[in-house]
Amino acid sequence: MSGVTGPPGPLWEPWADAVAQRVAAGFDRLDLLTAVDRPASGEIEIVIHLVRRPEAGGLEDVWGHTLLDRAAPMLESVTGLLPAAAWHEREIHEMFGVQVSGHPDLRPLLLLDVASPPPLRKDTPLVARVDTPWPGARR
Amino acid sequence: MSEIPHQARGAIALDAAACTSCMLCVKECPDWCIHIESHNEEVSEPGARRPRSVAVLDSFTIDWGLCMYCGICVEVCPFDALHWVPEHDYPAPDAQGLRHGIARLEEFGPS
Ligand code: SF4
Ligand code: SF4
Repeated sequence: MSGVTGPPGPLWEPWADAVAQRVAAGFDRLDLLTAVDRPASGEIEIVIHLVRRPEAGGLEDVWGHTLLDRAAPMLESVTGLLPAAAWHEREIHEMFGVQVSGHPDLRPLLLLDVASPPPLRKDTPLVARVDTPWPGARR
Repeated sequence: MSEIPHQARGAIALDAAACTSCMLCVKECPDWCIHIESHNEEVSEPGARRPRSVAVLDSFTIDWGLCMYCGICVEVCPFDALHWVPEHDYPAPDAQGLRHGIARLEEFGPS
């Protein structure tokens, strides 16, 4: 582990099958599903955190991750397994420009125009930040 | 309703007398939501060989509309002029009203 990538352990691949396997083992509560832009390695990392309830086999949690090609990121939707993943995947689509295959409704949550560069990609300039003088420069 | 824990990050209170206008919080704030105006004054003390220059704080503003409550400003302040208070209920009718100056930030008071 280099420390800069996400949760330890092997990548969950293929993604949807790996998630399905954990859900079948009782890890059916979605706590987190998000993305991390890694321009240096040309990847977008997907991170998931699943929890198993005490009555479903003992309270336990599991972290999973996978890496997508940053140039053409494509993720399989897991909304069929975890309905709560729907909004998280919409957000990953909107904010990181990841295509999510098999998602029922990828309408943007916040942006008016998804064609604009994905705001949470590290190389997307924040216009407000560019226009605003840095308050720390005063003296 | 349950009690708000005393260590809750509700608001950041300012102790203006402790602030030296060093600008560290302004420079470190990731959101650029702190603005400081200050000027220097010469202070002559009896027995001193020449007057000292001290920074006088004219204004100190936190924009709660931008603040993400990360606490970096509180951490970096070398003079403990900033501290967390549990008070969290300070809505405003417009964005301008979320910009609190010295008086309002001091009102949050000691924790
Ligand atoms: S808490 Fe963070 S965002 Fe808010 S004023 Fe302090 S440094 Fe800035
Ligand atoms: S870091 Fe502390 S002393 Fe320095 S300007 Fe900010 S509040 Fe004042």
